[in-house]
Amino acid sequence: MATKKKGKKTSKRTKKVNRSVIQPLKPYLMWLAVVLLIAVFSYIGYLDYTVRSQFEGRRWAVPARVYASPLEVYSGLRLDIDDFEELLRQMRYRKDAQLLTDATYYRNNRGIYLRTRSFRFWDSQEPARTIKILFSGTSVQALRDAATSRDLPIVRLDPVKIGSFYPTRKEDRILLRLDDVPRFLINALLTAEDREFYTHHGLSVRGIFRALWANIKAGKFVQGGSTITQQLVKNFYLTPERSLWRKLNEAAMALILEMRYGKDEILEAYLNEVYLGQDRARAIHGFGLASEFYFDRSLNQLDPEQLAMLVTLVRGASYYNPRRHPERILERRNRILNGMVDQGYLSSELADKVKQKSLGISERTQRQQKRHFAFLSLVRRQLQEQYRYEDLSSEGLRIFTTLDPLVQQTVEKKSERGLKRLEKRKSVDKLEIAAIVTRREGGEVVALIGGRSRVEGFNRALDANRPIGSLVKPAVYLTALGYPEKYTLITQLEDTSITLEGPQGKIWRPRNYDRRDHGEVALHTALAQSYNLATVRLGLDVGIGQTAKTLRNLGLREPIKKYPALLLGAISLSPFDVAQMYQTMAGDGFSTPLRAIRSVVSQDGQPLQRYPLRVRQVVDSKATFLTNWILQEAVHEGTGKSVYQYLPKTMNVVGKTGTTNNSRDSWFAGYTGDYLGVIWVGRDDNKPANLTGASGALQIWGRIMQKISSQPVDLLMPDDMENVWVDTQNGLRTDQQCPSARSFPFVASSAPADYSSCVRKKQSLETWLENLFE
Amino acid sequence: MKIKTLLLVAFLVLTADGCARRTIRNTRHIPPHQGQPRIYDIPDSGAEVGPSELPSSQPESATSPPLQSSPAVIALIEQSDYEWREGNVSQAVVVIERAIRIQPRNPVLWYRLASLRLQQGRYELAENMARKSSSLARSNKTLIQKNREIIRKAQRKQGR
Repeated sequence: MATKKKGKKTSKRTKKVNRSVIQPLKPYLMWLAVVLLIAVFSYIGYLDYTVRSQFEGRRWAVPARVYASPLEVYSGLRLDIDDFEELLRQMRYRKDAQLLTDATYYRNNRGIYLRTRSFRFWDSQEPARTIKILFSGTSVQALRDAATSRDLPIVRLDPVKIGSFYPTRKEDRILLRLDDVPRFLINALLTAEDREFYTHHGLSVRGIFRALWANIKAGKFVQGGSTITQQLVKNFYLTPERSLWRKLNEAAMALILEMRYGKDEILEAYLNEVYLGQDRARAIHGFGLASEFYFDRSLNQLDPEQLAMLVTLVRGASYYNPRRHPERILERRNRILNGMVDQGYLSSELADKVKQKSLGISERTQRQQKRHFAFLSLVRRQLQEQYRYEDLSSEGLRIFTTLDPLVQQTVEKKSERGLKRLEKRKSVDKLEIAAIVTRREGGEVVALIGGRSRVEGFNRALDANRPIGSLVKPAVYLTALGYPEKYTLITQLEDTSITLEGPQGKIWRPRNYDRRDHGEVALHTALAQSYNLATVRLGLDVGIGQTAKTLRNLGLREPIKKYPALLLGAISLSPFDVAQMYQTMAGDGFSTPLRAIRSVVSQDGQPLQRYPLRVRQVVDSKATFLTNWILQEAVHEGTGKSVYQYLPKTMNVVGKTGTTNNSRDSWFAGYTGDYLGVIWVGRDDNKPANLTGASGALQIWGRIMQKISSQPVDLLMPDDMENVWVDTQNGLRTDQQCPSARSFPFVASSAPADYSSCVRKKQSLETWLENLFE
Repeated sequence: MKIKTLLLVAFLVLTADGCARRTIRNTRHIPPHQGQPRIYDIPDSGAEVGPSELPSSQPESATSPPLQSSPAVIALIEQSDYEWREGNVSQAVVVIERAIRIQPRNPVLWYRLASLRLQQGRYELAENMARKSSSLARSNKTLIQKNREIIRKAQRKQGR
């Protein structure tokens, strides 16, 4: 009571004081009002600037999307039906016997029926079509239009998405234009969130009262009074704190937004901005991406019940998470449908029909996202030669790569199984692996793994530089064979011990792997059997500088130290570098840069860059042919023999094993008619792995090629070369009939001129007979 | 003048295309890609070849390919020809590259790529593509001769 009285007294007193004080202050108050007015206007101006600058600038950072190489289907293609079905799963196709929507398929005992997705490639748009693919054995027997049963020559399917490059804030979205958004979605959205959207000016008094009434009626918070414009402002410009000041700002900015821009622009921005889900660290924004995220199809492919479901998520994507709380979402979805009937958007019969439908959410495979990290890091590296990472991750680029998902999967599987087997057999542990597979021609990288772990980590394929051992030897022989007047396949080399003084007087005494000297050996045998001593002698004879030059010609960009030990592979390279070298051998002396990217396309579909097929002749084709010929022998009879446990001998594989001191590194590099593969196996701590190139890396290489390769190597002899029969006993010319005769390729006029004794007898007999009858 | 040349070129292509065209002419309609964005490559130095160069270096499939051309490859060759006739040389290149991915050791495809590159004025690429084609051509004398022609022109343009 006392306080009340006191209060009354005080107010009376202030009134008196006010009158006496305000009178003289009046002109100042005028000024104060003016100042305040200016402040308010400046603040509104500031808000207006904020609203405009963000709304008119680039509104969102859209991550780059990275795609694998698309599968091109044609009759005769080697493709296993089970593998194809697995690929369809990776492409996020659904099984549906009626093929009601795009991206569906069904399989029967003859083949697969497929309704494809329309897809915009870097060069053209592939339309959606319905096709059937008939299989026989492990290849495509026929490819037909499903409706007309007419043969189709070739169909390019949409590619698997293998990853994204995100900006630091992991918001992800697919931008939509309002025209692309189904009317049903907009109607459902307006029903649920803002029924007066097209009539209010940013704020809706009726909306606020209706929400208030609904909340009182329900006794809890069921409806918010914010208009779509306010929600957009809130998400776009403001922090999520709840305060009166923020609410005022929100209202002011909503009014400004409405004054500045049309309803459609605001609605379009809202459809792209709204938060609709979470994929671990990645935030799903906008209806475009949400549609892909929950249903694996684009928004215009969705059914009404699915569109209605997406609208329910606006109210709280985690509370209504359809993969966790389908019951919550069903209830709210049906309420929205009822609302749509009230609004006259939907007949009640149709609403009832839609309510019967289940949610039809797609499954989400968790491992998909991070799986291709090693390959993606290669893509990123190649792109960063031309783009800044900020642009890469925010401009919504679409990046088309060379990865073949099926080959990648094979490499992953065979590597893991192969390593387990090796660890068991050799009783070693902690083995690591790096592998790269490219197309034999053109240098496209189709698969890459940087280690056993599929999660992010050290990428050994690109960053582990290890001594390459005997993998360097072909370069030594290639250099020598460039001088056909001096060296041929049958030139005799000394495989005897040698002592060299290295830098700082260090003595280097190389030995053979079997610790024996082999005396005089033919040049081809020395490489096929990977003899160290003969190779060192040959390399010294030709010149270490020459070999280094050949290595550079083959595509090596690393600095090369010109020590004698280089001749036996004392140079540390990554599997990627080795693949670049062997790619030139596989290309018959034509180098082609290894490529992981085919094309980069901007967000609006404009091609920005293409990485075309390039070749350049860099080493002599005849010497390359001869070296490849020996490397075929190395696999047929030499160190790489066990390849033929996995492949038929008719594949004529070209390859080379590599082992380093104390069996620390096990390498195999080689190619078939269609693929080139380089594999390294060893330990990160550089301890002995107890593996040679043949017992380690080769075993995994063989298993991979067994699965992916179908083309044999057919070496084409360049012009000015000939096959000549040689008596291997004495290195003289002979013919097929002689025992110990073997055919070797020679650069013209470098073959032995003199005949072996076994031919001379026959020849003299022939001459005698000829003379007799003349 | 330009139209005349184009007509001549179109005529040459139609007549020069051999058996391949006849076998599948009725089975496939290649839709025009009007309104589609054009591809551009990372540009090399060197200007575009004038239209007068076109007829002599136009791609053709009259040479018998040593590899059996599959319907897929034939369809892609046709599509590449179509793009070329429409004046989309870059697009023609892209399509031929797809064909090479299917038959990487088919010298005719490499020859076609070489002649397209020559038209684009990318002489170094053209020269190397022609060399590659010859290295795969075995004893196809006609093809090797044509490749020599491309190499000669490309070298002349490069001032060699």
